[in-house]
Amino acid sequence: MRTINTSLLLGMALLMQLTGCGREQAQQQQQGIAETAAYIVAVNNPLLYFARRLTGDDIEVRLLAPEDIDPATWQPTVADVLQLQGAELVLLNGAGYSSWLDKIAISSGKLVATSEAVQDSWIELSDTLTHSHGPVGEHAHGGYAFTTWMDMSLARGQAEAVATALQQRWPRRSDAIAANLAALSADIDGLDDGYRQQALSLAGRQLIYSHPVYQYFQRRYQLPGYSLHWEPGAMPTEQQWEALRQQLSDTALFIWEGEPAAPIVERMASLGLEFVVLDPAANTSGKDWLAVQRENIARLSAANKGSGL
Amino acid sequence: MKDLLYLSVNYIRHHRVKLLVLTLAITLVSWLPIAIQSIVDQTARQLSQRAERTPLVIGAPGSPLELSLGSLYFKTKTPEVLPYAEVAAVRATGYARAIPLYYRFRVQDYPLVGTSPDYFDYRGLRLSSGRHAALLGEAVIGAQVARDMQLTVGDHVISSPESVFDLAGVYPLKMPVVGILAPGFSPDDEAVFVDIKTAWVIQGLGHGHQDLNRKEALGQILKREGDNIIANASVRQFNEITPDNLDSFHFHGDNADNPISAIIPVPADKKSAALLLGHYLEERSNVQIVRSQRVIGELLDTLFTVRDYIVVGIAIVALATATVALLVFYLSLRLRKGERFTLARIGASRWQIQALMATEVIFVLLLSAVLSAILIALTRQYGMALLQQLLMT
Repeated sequence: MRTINTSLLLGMALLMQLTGCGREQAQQQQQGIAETAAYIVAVNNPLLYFARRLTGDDIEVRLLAPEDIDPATWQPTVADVLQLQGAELVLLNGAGYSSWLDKIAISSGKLVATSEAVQDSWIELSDTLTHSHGPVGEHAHGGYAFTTWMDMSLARGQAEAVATALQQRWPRRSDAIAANLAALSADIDGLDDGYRQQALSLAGRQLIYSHPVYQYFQRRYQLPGYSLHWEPGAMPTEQQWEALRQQLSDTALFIWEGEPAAPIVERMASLGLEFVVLDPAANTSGKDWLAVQRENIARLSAANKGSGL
Repeated sequence: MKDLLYLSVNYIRHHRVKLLVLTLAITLVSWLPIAIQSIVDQTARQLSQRAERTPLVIGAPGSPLELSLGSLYFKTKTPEVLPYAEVAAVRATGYARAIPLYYRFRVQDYPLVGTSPDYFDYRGLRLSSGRHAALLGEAVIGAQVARDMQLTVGDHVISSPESVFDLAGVYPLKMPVVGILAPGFSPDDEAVFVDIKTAWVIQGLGHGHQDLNRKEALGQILKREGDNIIANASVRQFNEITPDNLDSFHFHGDNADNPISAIIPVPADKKSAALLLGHYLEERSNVQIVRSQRVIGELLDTLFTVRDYIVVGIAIVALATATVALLVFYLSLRLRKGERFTLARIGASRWQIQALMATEVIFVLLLSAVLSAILIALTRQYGMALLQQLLMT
């Protein structure tokens, strides 16, 4: 009897340890947020635009990065992370665009890597620095060029990935999303055609890019050039101007991310350097992404016609 | 009647020790089997509830019991691991959401559970103070952890090294407590929760250190070979993740290869659960899917078998006690033969004498019944908590 008593006590001790004992309250699994309160977070303006076009404004789509900050360099606050956690879907650009992703707590099931399907097309940055220390061994902190949407074929793939994620999350809206995707894809194809046409005219010109954010654009439309690190609002130093002057040819065309400041425009004019603004539209600016891209094409067209932008 | 009562009370008072012992013996043998059954049933119910709410668990091949106990109660110390890529694989089946669990590490005696924010929704866990973990390195603690370690939001917990002799192994990570869970009377009360990536940082799969491109790090650099910087072991690695050094934290390799202990699949419905089960049983050999209800049910069957042995044993003891009690009553009546004769001689009726003799038996049985009922009620109300307290101390 003593043996049995000991066994019972041991068995119960194990079970008590396991259950934590007491009454476990009746808890219901929360299977999802009510559709009326649902929202989606996009990490940049192209994805924001794609999601809005595809959902037809039925579901709120948010971009958390403030308008005056490049979403690629934006870091979320705790309040932002809590918003991300509450989102139904978080639309990621991929190619290492959201470096904060490894530093926040978020359910991977919400994440939609929109360029993952075209991962083979990502452009690896060549100036990646590696280091090694301690038992970890050699490792790199580099990555990929991330302005994928400036290649309109990749942008279309990203839009399709967004549509697939939306259809899986809201299957009853699948038909409407598919119809919206067809219209959106046609618009993106139109941009692709537009850029292709302008690229034909730009062939043979020396292209100087203000920032290394046009890698996919350059590859898609065969418009190679070299990139600087100039900001449209910050006057370059004299050394930088001199270095640029030495590189210039008669066919040079400078491509800015945004409208340059007036003193910079004057200085370029004095060098006889033509420029054009090719806005990647990573963040919102009062105009939607498609409109900005169409304006880019219009400006390239004007540059090609030699209207002096 | 008044005379009868007077004599009965005085008899009981005079034989109080004998009657008290008899009463306690009968009380105990009537209370014990019911109490054991009650506690075992309550324990079994709680175990079953947790398993019913988590009917499926996916893990590395090995003991199904270990996997169930680990993923439901965080009670296994050296879990087998599977790659984080399996979380995406579960999701890719289209049958279920997937919640990762990594419960290899501890904070003192409490399990440190790396998981995703989905876990709290899934278990219906509410916060009594603070907020959920948002950034790498933040911790949310169970109610009992907070109580035992006297922690509040803003305090810190430190992960425990796995071995004091493993100097190159897992380093302690200091983590701020950003939230405390409301008591759920479940194993979650006794756990420290962090994001799964924080658990990987504890394991050394991710880390933060000085920027080797800065001038301050010149002393730590052994040499530069092209784009590769080789630093010495004095590079300062951070053992606490703060807003200032958060940016320096990074992971090596693909997170998909990082380890987890188990996955809780959350199917949308029973059909999806059945399809998921079939998929894993038939098509996957490098991972196992466990029906935790069945595993816990087998554990409970063992418990019930032991309980049945105990109850049979106690029933035999009760029979012996009842026999002894009968003997005591019989001997008592024999001893009171002179008393009955005296009562008859002074004019007591036959009914009065019989009633007086019966008083002893009625008193003992009635008092035993009342005491036993009180004890059973107390056992049902507080027995589990008291036993747990006893076991913990």
